Amino acid sequence: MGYFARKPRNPSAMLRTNYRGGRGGTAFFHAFREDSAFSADNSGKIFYYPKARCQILTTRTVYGERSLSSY
Amino acid sequence: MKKALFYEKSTNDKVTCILCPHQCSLANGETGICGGRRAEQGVLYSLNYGQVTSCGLDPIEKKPLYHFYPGAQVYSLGTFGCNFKCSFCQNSSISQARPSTEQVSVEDLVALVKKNDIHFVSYTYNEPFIWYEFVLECSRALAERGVKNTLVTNGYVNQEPLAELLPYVDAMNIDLKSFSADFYHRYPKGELAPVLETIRRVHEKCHLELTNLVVSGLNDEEGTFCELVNFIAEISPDIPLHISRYFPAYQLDAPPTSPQTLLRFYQLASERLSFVYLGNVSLDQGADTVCPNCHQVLIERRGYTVSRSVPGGKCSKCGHAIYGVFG
Repeated sequence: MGYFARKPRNPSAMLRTNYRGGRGGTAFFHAFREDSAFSADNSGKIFYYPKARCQILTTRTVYGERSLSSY
Repeated sequence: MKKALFYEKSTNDKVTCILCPHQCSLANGETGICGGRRAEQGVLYSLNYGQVTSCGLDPIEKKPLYHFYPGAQVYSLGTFGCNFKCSFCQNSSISQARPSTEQVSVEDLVALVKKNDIHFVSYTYNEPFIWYEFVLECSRALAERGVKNTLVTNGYVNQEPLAELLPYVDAMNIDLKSFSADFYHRYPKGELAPVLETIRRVHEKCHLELTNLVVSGLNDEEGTFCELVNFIAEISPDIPLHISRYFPAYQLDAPPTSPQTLLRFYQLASERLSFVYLGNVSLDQGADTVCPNCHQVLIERRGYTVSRSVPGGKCSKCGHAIYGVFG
């Protein structure tokens, strides 16, 4: 069974249902893994590919506040 | 489709792609191992030029790059295909499949970066070298505008295309999957030696960090890991090594790497390398950047949250120079 075989239509539903994203744990945590093609936005929603249609996602809240102004 | 760079015409109406060490010999209509390049009437075309499957603004620590502008946000994008066939690929839905894409031009990317005041771009998620023509053109255009280009790659590329791209690349994370040639034959279905050569070349030209994904039962043998560490140390003990935890993905059902194995590898690597990190796991060790001279904590990390920095690239306590680019 492929990784996305049980993908819910609404990605944010994964957070409510503790969707396990196949066999690798929740998709929420998958979005935090190094070089994962998943991303999270600042409301905690998870985006699959193709994600957000090349919008800029603000990840600051989900991934943690960081001092970005110097860059 | 965009006409590809780096191919040769053969005498028997075939073309040979010379972008990566696979050097696929392709008859008319055939697609290379990577899934991103196809021969048509004696010409090689890039199928994934400008085709974006995934994009998002990520913390640079997620690449992972820990010694390159810590705390920066990097606009990350990828296409489809890969020249490796790892059964444990966490991004197999784009690397081993042909998902839907969005067409993006170089001008689109430049405009998006400018509009959103982005200073860092990463070609990542799938293998960026098999997106070569698009990555080269974007990197060139963005570098002219002062944007930093980074790649997260398996390092499986021939030296000529690597040399042509490197002037526009500021940092790379290369995934060194094992120090076993047999492992490379069996799982990614490639060769180890070209990856090692890429690591040597990249270290000469731009900022480099390495990742070793430790997969339960596949590459968690201590002796081979020590050989990998020794190889890195002989190039430079300052190259950061990210020891990353595997989770079941794609075709592999082996259990996640145990924290005990990760900690053991962390200890082994720390004996020879100055900067060793543990990824995809939250443990007491392996997150912070510590001065190798006086052991002062220079950068604290909790998940992707970063605090403190390395002003001037030197330890704030003893003045020891820290490998990296810290802004």
